Amino acid sequence: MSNYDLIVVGGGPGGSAAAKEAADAGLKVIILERGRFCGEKNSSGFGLSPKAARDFDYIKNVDVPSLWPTKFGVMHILQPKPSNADRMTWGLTPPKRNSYPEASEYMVQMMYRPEFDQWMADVATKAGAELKLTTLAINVIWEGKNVAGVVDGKGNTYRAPVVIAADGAHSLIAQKAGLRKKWDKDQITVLSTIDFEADPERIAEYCGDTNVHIFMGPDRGGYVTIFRDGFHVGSRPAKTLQTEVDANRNLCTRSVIDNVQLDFTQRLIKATRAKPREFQLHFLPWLKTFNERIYTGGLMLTGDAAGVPEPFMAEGVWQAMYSSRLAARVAVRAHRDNDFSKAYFKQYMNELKISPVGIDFTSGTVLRDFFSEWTSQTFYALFDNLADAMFYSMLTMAEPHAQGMLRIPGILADMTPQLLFMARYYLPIAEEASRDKITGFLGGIKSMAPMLQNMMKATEGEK
Amino acid sequence: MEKLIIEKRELVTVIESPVDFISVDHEKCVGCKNCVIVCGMNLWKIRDGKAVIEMDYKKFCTECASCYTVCDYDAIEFTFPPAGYGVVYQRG
Repeated sequence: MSNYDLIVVGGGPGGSAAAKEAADAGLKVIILERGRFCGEKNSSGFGLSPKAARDFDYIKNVDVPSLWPTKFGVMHILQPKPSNADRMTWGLTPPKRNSYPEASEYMVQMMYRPEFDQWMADVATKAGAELKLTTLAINVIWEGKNVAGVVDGKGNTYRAPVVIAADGAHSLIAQKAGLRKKWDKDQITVLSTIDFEADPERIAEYCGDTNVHIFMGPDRGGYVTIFRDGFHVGSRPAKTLQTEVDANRNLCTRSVIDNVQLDFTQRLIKATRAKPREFQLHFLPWLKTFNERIYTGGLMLTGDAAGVPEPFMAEGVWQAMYSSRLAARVAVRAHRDNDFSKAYFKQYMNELKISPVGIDFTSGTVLRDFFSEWTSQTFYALFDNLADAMFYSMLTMAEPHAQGMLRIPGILADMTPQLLFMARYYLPIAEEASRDKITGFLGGIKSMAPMLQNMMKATEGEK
Repeated sequence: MEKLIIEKRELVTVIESPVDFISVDHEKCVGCKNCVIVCGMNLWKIRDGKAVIEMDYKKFCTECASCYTVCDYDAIEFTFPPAGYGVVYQRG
């Protein structure tokens, strides 16, 4: 039996962020990781958002071999099946108006998870945390109504007044502590990815700074993310397991294989001499409401185990790091106050809910079904019309300019229902944001919201 | 362009677990097929109205826990392979 001040279950970015914070504050911390190395069980590729650099000083020093900053992204609006061609593409670059500098410098930093997770574990161990690999925590130890430690698969016991469970979506600790038996089918999405290995020089030449590609079409969606020496082709998100059961077919694996066949992906494969290297399935919480059952006496759940991934863009690493650091701070306070009760740890949930993670989550829930919608006919028609109005009608060399220009008002009028449909997603977010800071613009939107929302009811049929 | 065939099972690295980590209770199973639909590795089948997992599932299962999650009858038990075994994602 070993005694600690804090046990962290799971050596992902969340677990390591918690361990670093607690070790810096002087706690005796151990991380238990079931993999033979950190990141061994993590799939689906990842881009670390600039938020992580904003909130964690040490992230500015990240340096791993696959690191590939991404300045530009491209949105591919695809033709309907069976075509594999783009109808149009839009380039995306970070906006100039941002609340912090990193957000204008890059969109995400692409890295492979084993590299990043091990880098993060080094940050934690350098701060003084102990890391125990190849150790699967399978049960909790109770002391009265409080969790007071964990047991691993070999029967070893680890005791501490506080346990932080950062053990992923299928958290055994959450189950054993009675916080949930399983997620609902409609709370989980599975992303399927295929990793390709590719020639780094050809990637640099062919892709440059443009390393995120998002696919959107009337009947499909997905993404490609590019690393220094390979890339991921990903499936269409936002189809929950419930959707798959209802559709009676596996949508995520079908989607990723469709996305490999796209003209863009095939060109990328050819240009970078790429070969498929790894097939991955990523089980991801995709919640409709903030999960409040994330604490009990002596225990806090963080990251995917808590269900905090933002349910719009499916970002989860920054959320895991942020929620875990918050939990570690509460753990430090609990030691100071010598109170490890369930009532005490409620402050973790309350603080998380009003933190940037909680606020972003709430906005995400409003947009949750956006990814399903954007692979709908409505969105396709919207972009198709927008392109016709903004570009083809003006830039055409096929007919006299005046004739092209004259078509624009008619196209815009046709688009009214589609624009209102977009507004249906935009307005609740604007309202949410304005709760914090009512600017003149958002205030105006807010006062118009009820009126516009009434107007939008007429467009329900469009969906 | 020539079509690229993806052989999922050739693209997963799994250290085969020495013990079972998925089990199905045939008393509870009603053969609803949910597990068959969601398994990204196509490891489940329905035989005689009951769900059965492939004999060598331990060579291919990526431990996503989807089958456990979609089972409405709590017939499927899923833990994790013992530490040091199971799926290896080098490029996750």
